[in-house]
Amino acid sequence: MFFKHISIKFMIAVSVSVLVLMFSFSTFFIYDLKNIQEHQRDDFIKQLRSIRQEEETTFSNLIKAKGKVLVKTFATNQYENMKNYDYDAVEEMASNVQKNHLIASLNVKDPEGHVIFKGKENRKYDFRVPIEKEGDMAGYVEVALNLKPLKKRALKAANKINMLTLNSVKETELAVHRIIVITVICAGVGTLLICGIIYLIFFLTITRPLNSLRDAAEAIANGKLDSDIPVCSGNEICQLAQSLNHMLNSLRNEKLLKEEVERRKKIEKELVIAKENAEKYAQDALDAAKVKSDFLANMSHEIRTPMNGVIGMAELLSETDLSEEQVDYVKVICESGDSLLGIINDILDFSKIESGHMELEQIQVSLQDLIESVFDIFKRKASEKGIELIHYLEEDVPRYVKGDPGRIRQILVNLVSNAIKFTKKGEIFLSVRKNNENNGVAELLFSVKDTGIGIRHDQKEKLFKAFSQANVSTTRKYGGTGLGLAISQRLVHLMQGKIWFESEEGIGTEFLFTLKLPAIDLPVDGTIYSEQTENLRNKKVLIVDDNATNRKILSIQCRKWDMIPTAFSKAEDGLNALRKSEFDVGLLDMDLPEMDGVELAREIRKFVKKDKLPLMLISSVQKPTNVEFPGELFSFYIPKPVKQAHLFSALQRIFASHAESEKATNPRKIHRRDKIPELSRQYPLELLLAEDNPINIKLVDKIFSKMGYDFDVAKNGQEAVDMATAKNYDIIFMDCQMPEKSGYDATRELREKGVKSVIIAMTANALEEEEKKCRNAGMDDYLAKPVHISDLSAKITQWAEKPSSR
Amino acid sequence: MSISKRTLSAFIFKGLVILSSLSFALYLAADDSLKIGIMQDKRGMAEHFAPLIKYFDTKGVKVQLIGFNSYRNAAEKFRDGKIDAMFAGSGVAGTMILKGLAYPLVRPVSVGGWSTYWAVVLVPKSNNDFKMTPKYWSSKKIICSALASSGEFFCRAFLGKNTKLLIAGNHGNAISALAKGVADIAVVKNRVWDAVKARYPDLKKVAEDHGKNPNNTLIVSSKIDKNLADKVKKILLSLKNDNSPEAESLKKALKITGYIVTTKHDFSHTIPLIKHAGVDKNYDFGD
Repeated sequence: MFFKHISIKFMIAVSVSVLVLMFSFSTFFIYDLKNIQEHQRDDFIKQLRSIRQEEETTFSNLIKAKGKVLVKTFATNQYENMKNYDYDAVEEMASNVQKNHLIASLNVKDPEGHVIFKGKENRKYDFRVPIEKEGDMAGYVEVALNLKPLKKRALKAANKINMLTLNSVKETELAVHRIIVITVICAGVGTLLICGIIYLIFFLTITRPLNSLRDAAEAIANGKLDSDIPVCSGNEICQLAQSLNHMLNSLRNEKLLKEEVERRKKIEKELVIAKENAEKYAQDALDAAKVKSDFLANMSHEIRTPMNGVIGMAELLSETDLSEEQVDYVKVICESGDSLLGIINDILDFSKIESGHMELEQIQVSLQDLIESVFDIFKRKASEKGIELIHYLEEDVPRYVKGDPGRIRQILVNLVSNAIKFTKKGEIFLSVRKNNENNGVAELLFSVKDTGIGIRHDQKEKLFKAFSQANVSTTRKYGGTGLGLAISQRLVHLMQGKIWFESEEGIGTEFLFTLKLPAIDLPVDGTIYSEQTENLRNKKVLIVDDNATNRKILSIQCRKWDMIPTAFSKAEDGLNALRKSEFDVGLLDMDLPEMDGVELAREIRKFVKKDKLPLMLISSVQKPTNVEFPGELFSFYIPKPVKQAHLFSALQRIFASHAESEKATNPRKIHRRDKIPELSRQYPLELLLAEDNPINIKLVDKIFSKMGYDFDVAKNGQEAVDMATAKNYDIIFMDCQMPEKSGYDATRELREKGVKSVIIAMTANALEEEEKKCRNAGMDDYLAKPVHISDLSAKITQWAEKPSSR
Repeated sequence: MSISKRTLSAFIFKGLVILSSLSFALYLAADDSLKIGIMQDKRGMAEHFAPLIKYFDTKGVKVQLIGFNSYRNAAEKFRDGKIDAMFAGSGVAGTMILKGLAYPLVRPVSVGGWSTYWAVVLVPKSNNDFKMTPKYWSSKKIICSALASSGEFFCRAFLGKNTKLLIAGNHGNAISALAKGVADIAVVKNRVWDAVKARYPDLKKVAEDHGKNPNNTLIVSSKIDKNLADKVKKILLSLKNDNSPEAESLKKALKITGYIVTTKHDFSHTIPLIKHAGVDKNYDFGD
């Protein structure tokens, strides 16, 4: 009870604090005092040691001096005895001398070192005194002095001083102890005094007002709410009294508050229920998303499987003899199939990006090849529309970077596709330049600029929104899902870039996007360019092209190979230039105004022969006939868009020897493209197709027969295992979803049994996870359905050429 | 003629005084005073001769000790008659005799009954190849006592007068020096060796002289009063049978039983020996 009083607690707290403070102060004071005392004592001891040492040295020197005098006297007296060989006398005297307390030991020796008198101790002598007279030496005395007694004497004296000093130290300690006791007593008394004063102040200012408050609070507790608490002004207790008055008011409104509380509790309960529902809905949403993802995967598979049949068969059909009308029908089927496939792919990609399942590859990418491959896709369409496709990579752009080539291509395809879609005439210029490079990571700026219809200001905001186009009429006119730009934007963001556009209605649109890609330091197309530029050095090139961009790009490329280009936009100007000066080669665009490339060539040939000035025709015509591309006029035909490699190869052929020109080209690629039907003769392989779908079997059968391959068919996974273990196949094309045993299980079993055949998955599931799943199962490669002839032949060539494959 | 008593008494008194004076003068004139020469560097000689002086005193012979610092000086004193006698070893005595400055009178007989001595040759016990040939000795360090017929004179007689020797103050010193390795060979008096050999177990005697030399002979100056010489001789010869306290005290102090007559004949071995050592009438004791 006693300790419940706050004043007592406070008093105790203050007392303890003051006590602790006093104790700390005393401790520090005592500690300091002790320290000083110890230092003093150490100094005393050091001084004493020094004095003792000095004393010892002094005594030692004194002893030596005395000893020398004694021994010299002895030596002088022994001269005659030594000369008379009166060694008894010498011994007697030496014995006497040795009894002296200064001498520890004494040896007398004749000049030849014979010991005449041997001392009592076998000690190292301190000094030697000759026995001589007027330079005649009769022997010598070796003396070891006895320093011990005197050292003892010195020690005794020092100890005496020590004792005196220690006594002094003890006295000092005693004085210190007295000071300590006085300090402690003072600290105690001081503590009591301070505590008393503090308690008095505390009682008057806190305890007494608090007691008043307590009485008032008890009255309130007893229900006496009618009287207010007397309020003073100033300190916190007065403020507390005010607060209690406020509380009193609050109590008066207690009923109202209770009602409010109950209402809030009710709302809280409702919120809890709402939260539980929200969580349930979120989980449902997640489940739904998963279901959606699975559904999309299944749908992808289910749609692709019949699409595989439709497109494949249509392609095969197009290879047969068909009437013109039938060719048109088949073409429509193919285009519709491709369009449908594109839509499916867009939806899948968008779905993957939105769900965060999109994973990017990090592999080596050749930007030149990537851009050229994009233009390859559209060159036919561009040619048909009379649009120039031009691309240019600035000098400082790394030729190889690390990234996801599929996704970069997808962005470019989307943008170029849109550009072609909305451009009636003119050009589409794809350029790449380097903004900056930090720690080997280059920020590249891609630009796709067209001369199309442009975008209205009010349409710009909708452009990157999914499932929307600039306007509904546009959708109707130009088609498309409206997902392309949305997917591109998300892909760019995934690759740490940004995408935007600049457009002027009626002038054109430029889509720009940046990507941050690690640069790879590899020689730039070394096999093609670096060894052969010598042949092209200082060759004069005549360029005639009405398109300014084309002229600029061609000129830059030629200069890069140390050639000297001169470009003209008009045929007439070109002709005039040829009449005035000589050129080594001419690059003529087919679509020139007023006079086309062929006509210009004919004019040129009137005064310059083919062997003097080889001409190259640059045209977007896909398959030029002899009429379109007369051999007597032109040495080479370069298809648009102009590929750097093609142009270089053609120039090499003109200027290099035949053998070198052969080397400069890429015969394997041409050969491969030209001789697909004879693939089986080039790469005779044993092939197995594991596929349950009869349409797909038929499709593959057609493709393989075109290549000249015979192959075995397994209709399920188990059959595939049995056949592959019985016969050694070079390549097994494995469908993943088959009855009895899936392609994955069949592959695992084959690998476990040590079958080393190359296994290529064929699946309609286009998701990346699928590819991973196939590779994890032990498959070597992956081929997405629908299967095209080119894809299949590329895979066969790839694996047939791989010497170490399995 | 009448002589008064007083005159007579005075006459008698004067006569007695004169008679007494004469008697005293005669007494003084008849008193025998013997001047014995001693070497100053010999320690304890005064104490040594104290019982003898006392004995002579009882026999009415006053003894006076005359110091000299070298044997040459002693020889001059003999020649000039400044000293009458000297107790000397056979070497010094023989030399004085040979120089014609003195002649032997008596020599003591020790309590052991001997009165002569001879030289002994000592080497360390470890020496097993000692040869008594000059060739062997010539490569060794030899120590011996100065002017001793059993020391320096023996060595010089054996090896030649100019042989390099380590000259010790006495025979004991020579033995001690040999024991301490200072010398290879020591030639000493047999009596000294016999007395101390127990103290030197590492030494051994390897040879000795064949002839004997008279020990500590009292030689007297050729110029001494014959009566005094006879008196001294008589006194010393009587000592043997004298049982008086003084006599007994003297014999005990000197460790002798008495004295015997000594003549030149007793030096028949010594004198040829010292002659071989190069001593002649002109010998000046090497000073």
